[in-house]
Amino acid sequence: MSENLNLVFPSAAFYLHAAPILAMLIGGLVALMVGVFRGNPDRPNMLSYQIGFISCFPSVIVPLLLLAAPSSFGANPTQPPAWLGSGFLGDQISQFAFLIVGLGTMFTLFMAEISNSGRQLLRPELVCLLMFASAGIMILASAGEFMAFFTGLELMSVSLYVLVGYQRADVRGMEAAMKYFLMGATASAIILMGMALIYLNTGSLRWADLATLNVSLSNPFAVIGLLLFICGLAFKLGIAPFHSWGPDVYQGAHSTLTGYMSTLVKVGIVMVVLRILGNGFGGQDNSAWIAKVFWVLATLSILVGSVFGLVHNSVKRMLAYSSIANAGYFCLAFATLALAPKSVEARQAVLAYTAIYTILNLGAFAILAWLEDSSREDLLKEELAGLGKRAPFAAVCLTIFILGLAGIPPAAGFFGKFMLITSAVSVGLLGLAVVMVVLSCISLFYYLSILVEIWLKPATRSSVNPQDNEDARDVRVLVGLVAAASLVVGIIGPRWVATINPTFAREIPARVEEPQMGSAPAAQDPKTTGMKTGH
Amino acid sequence: MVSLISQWILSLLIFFPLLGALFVALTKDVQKARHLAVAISVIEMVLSFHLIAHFNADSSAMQFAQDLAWLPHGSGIRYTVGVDGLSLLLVILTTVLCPLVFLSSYSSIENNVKSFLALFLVLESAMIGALVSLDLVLFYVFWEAMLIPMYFIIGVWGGKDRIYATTKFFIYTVVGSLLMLVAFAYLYYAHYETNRIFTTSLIELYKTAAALPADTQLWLFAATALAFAIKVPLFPFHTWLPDAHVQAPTPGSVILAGVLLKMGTYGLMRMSIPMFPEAAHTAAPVMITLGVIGIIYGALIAWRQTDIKKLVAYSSVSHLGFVVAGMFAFNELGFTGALYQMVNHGVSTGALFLLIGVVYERRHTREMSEYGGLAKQMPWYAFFFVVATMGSVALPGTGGFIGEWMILNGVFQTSPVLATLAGTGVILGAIYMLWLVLKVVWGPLQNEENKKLSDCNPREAFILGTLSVFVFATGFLSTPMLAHTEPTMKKLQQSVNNKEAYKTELVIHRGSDEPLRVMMQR
Repeated sequence: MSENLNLVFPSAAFYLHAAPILAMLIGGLVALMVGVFRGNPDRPNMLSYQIGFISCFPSVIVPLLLLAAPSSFGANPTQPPAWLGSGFLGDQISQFAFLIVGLGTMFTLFMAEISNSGRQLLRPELVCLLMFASAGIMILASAGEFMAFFTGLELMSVSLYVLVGYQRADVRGMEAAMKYFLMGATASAIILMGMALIYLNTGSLRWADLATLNVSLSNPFAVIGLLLFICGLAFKLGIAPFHSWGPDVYQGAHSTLTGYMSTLVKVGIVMVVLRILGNGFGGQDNSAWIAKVFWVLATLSILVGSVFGLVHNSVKRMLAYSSIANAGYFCLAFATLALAPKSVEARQAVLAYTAIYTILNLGAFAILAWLEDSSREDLLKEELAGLGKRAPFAAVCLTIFILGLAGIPPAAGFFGKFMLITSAVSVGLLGLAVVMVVLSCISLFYYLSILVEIWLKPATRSSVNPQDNEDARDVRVLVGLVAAASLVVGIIGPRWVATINPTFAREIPARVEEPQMGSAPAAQDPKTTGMKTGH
Repeated sequence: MVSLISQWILSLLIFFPLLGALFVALTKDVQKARHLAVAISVIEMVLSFHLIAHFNADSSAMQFAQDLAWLPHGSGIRYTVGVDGLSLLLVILTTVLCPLVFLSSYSSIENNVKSFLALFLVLESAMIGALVSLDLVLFYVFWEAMLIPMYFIIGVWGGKDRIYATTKFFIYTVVGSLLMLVAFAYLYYAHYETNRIFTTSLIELYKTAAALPADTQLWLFAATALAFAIKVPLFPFHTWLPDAHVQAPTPGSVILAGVLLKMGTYGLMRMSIPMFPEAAHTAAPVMITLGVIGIIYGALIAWRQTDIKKLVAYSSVSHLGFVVAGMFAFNELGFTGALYQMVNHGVSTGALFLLIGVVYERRHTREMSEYGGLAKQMPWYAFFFVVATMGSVALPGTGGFIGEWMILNGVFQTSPVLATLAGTGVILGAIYMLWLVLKVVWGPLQNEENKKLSDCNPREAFILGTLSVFVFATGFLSTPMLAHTEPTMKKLQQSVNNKEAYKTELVIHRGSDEPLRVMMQR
């Protein structure tokens, strides 16, 4: 009886580990209810904003606690726990992703609140959608099997489709939302097809069972299934040749939301790919082709991201192409993982790069949102002219972020790329590393062209002129913190990443958990858990 | 006390200007900021004299070393700094040139003064950091960090085409250095493969790199040498230099010619050659030939220039060709000559750029035909101009003579033909430089505008006088100066010619009472 119960109701430790997701979901619902019962639904609603903000707290506090002292919360670092039939993995990778998503969501909300145009957006449903999207991302990042993965993916995607077209009056936003929806839905269908084909081969939805998947080319259904799955995920990550939605969608959405989309969404998907590739496939000798697929995707991405970005003068579009180019670096990491699934360095490099990339891109888009506040949507490169004189602080911060995205030390991006390159070289991907590095030099042209406008050109009539008011001070503090963080990471290196244990959680057989149900859930004794998992 | 200072001196030298940059940026008054910047750079210079005073000239070890944890332990990336005979002279050259550059900026930089001074101090930090770091990642960070201040110095305070020039400068340099980064990553893992431990310590990687198979070495050599050759700049990677020089403001040109270009030749001598001795031997004929082509090509192009600054820029291509040719001769004379020539070129070309700055500030033109007969109007200026020219054309008595003589002798031992060709560069150098002097300083004073020119003011005279003293000091005091470098150069020569790993160790000064502690690397 208790065995059955145990399958339905997970142990108390689950609620602790999954608190970030649950808080986000509940927070989202409450914010929505607030909108229904309190105030005008067409007006910004501060109460729902506060609820959203507070419901991000668990996703910052819980991961920090669990990362700092994993063993005291019932988790054994050598065998992290999994629940819900691998649907939720409570390992450190999940907690790390929760932390990034939690902080990123708080940042996005805060940015929206302190900018003028952002505040108009703060209707209850925005908060609700953001919370749901974040919860979806967290479900993605902690999923250990296909069902939970797809639930998370759809929760995230559907919320994002709406968020892109959130400014109902903006034609460009509507166009972007439509595009994103149609293409995103297709990508979801492709992913679903891939999942089905993989299930056909393994008979299991758990990613841990992918180890039995024979991916040699003589097994076409597995190969096609995996390819479809990879293509679908590549679409969600904005990897060329599945990137074409990126620039339009980024341009159409409000900059605050663009920052959210270009960073946190990727966090979720990257964790999924990390978990799938990190499991390794059956017939390891035959899986070299997977690395080749990522080889091609990486090269295309960096090429498209670097070359196509050259011809644009909308800053948002340039940053969109920059994020396509940076997605190429993710592919470099995936190729490494495909060749060396168990490599701790490769996994840590992915985690470090994800975090660094998130910091840099969130910062860059936050500055854009701030500047657009005082001019108009969709800033052109030329309108940044003379920013170094007019708003030195914003200019310095933007410079730090851009140098970071270009990978120039001492901004943070350098160590991210360095770790990716060293781990790629270690598994013999020297050729790809050279290709990445050489092609990313092309992208320097447009990164530099932004810096040229900011610092080297005098201000013109059309230049942005950010107002210096109370909002601006808040933005300064916030953006300054992010810039400082990226400099600190760039100077002392991503030290924290070495403390993260990138082992995947495995499901503990139900009968091991059984006795825990007997003890009071709140007073769970960590020692007994540790001993039990040691059996 | 001395021991305690010795322990921290290099970190102090690296981070003091950085701290100073902060203070300069926060100073309200522009004039005070200028004084402060000069004071900081003078203190820095005095601090760097500690290195000369306490450097053990009989040792080729990395002295004043410091080895601290930086990145997480497992990564093996540490904060390791130290100086040996190779970097000592260049560090001193940097700290001596910087105060002069700050003095010259009193008149040449008029807008955004505080940003300029702060950026320049950051640049000084990065340059010293790159010269003393003994960890590949640390070196790379400083190497790239040099780029950002220079990018802005050319881009903000430069001439008419500054944006084109600075973008070109940035992209050329980054292309090279990113390939170098891949080579470093390869070495990092090659070391792990053989020793099961990660490290980016240069001293450890010397062994790993030298043990690699010949063709791997050649690739890695090519990747690193490309980065350095672009910075030198070696023919045919030199095209960014004239643009950057012509567009840069006077202080920028001085430091570009004086120190930044030396980073390339320093990198070749510190990394490419001792790390991959076998590949270096294979590549030596190519490198010497490129050097010699650079010498002659640079000289011929310089001869045809009408813009004074462009002329001096191309003369740099020519002079640095000597340096590269000298070091790839792989004998002690060649190495020592190359190192000495780096210092001389820094002094004499720095002086020439300052001299150009002096008249440019008065006339706002760099066309040679606009000048002529300045000696009548500006006798002191003419005097300094001739002295700097003498240094540049390597007249006996100046340091340039000793440097070029050693280089030519060194190259002659390996390839008489190339040495002879390089020798013609000396003649061509005399031709274009004397031509320049003739056009600018001597001759009749015809242009009406030049008749109103005032001679050097005391500040300018002080800067130029100091550099003139150095032009001759390097000529007459070469023995004590080179005595510091001799053990290092000997060892470098031996290890390269035996095609074995370059061996050196860190000398770490511990506490105030303990004696020197030599840390032998495994």
